[in-house]
Amino acid sequence: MSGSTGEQQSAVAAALSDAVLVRYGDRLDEAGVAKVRGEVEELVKAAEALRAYRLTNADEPDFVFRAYRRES
Amino acid sequence: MAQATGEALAFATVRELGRRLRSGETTPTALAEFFIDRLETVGRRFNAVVTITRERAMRDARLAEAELAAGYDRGPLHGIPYGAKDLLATVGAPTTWGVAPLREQTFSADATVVTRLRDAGAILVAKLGMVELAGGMGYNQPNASLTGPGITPWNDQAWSGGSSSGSGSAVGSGSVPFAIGSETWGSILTPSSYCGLSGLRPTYGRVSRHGAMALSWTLDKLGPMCHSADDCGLVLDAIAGPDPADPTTIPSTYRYAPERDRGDGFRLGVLRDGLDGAQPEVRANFEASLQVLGQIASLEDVVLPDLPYNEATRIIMNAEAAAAYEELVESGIVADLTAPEDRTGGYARTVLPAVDYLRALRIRRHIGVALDDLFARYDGIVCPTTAVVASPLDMNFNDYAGRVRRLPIGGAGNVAGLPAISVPNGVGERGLPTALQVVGRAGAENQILAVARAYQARTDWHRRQPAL
Repeated sequence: MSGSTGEQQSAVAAALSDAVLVRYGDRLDEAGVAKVRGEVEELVKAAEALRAYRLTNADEPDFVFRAYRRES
Repeated sequence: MAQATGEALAFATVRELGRRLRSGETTPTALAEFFIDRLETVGRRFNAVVTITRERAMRDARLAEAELAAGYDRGPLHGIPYGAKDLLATVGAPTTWGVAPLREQTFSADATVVTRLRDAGAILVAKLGMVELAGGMGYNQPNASLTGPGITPWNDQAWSGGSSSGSGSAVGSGSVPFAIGSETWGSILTPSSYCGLSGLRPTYGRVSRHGAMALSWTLDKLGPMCHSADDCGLVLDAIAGPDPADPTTIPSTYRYAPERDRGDGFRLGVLRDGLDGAQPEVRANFEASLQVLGQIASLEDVVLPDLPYNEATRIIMNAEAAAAYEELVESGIVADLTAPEDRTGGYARTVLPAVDYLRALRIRRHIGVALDDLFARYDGIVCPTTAVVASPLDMNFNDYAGRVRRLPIGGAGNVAGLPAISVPNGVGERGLPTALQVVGRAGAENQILAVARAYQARTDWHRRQPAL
């Protein structure tokens, strides 16, 4: 979904929100549902911003994270 | 405690209290009694206190008194009272995580930090208030804790900051000489700024997280909140170091050695990102700070590499919090959280795709390398700690701060695990403190502490006391 349009992002956010409601909908009132939808949209937007950053197959995550300091 | 007056003791630094203890002017039991009384009469006014650990404190204080009298000196923290954010497990007292339904939660072992402070002779006198679940449910206003909203001692209508709210207001009101806070994204530096303290966020892995509530395993850090930068160094020396119980701890030992550090000749980067939206007093006080820093350092404007710091931090924090809080969310306990927005804050992140989390982690590596390239050129990079002073108690803090709620250096420093210290640097609107932060490269705590000490040697903002 590289370079998604705003419309596509909204559709993804709506689908993910629906998945939340399948699991937790019985715990949420109308305001809660709106809040979940807003928060999912924010996460989708942040994830989309990260997709704009180019990575290669060689870029691994740090599975045990350490703060990086170049050895001199 | 005959010769020492109350106010002099309340706002004394760890070093000053140590001198009084060793001169016989006061004793560990007298200090413990004094600060317990202060917590009851002053600290509680600011919603800083969850539990006063009187029995444990007096037992440890009597031991410290006997040891010091016998000539056995454990070092600068021996006999000094302190408070711990209530996410650190402690035997014999509840550990609530700031959550009303968990007010009876107990653990069978002390957190590593608590054990290390005990080994250094420090006296735990209180578990301190905090934002419920360290703010991990997305609170947006101060009333988000079982102890009520944290209040800054500088203005009883303003917030103390979060999520280490009680640590901030307890130290800021002279109710404990120092406290331990935790930071995932701003939770040590912000309350330090809002309460007029010196607060240190160590390098990720410098201090064991064992026994501390997890919000985000790869972002959480524990650190000291004190009356001076020097005190931060003394406390860090006691709590830092490798711990087999926390595999993310840095293998090398840490030693605070101010006598070996420079007092001038520093090279500092000056970061102005986001300052156009800062309050005028924050900008003015920062410029005044630069005048002082110019006496001890060469100053050079810098800009952060253009990378998605806040987005990466947000995705990592949310993905890890979704897992860390999964049982709490599933149990339904969250429905009884104090802040209404926290009751539904744990759901959206449960559908965050794993690939997005992993992408954020992959980008984090690039961020670490790019920032180290920049930070390696300086002893530290300076900027305001927060763009605004503490928000009013009854206001959404995002509305108060607007778009400068999260300065880019906050996300950058936390996602890369870099150390930073916040020190007070002036007064802003409504009589509230403003602050300066010095951020260093990974492992550079002693350099940023040296810069902060040199700044505090030329200013007296850290010695100002609120009118209580």
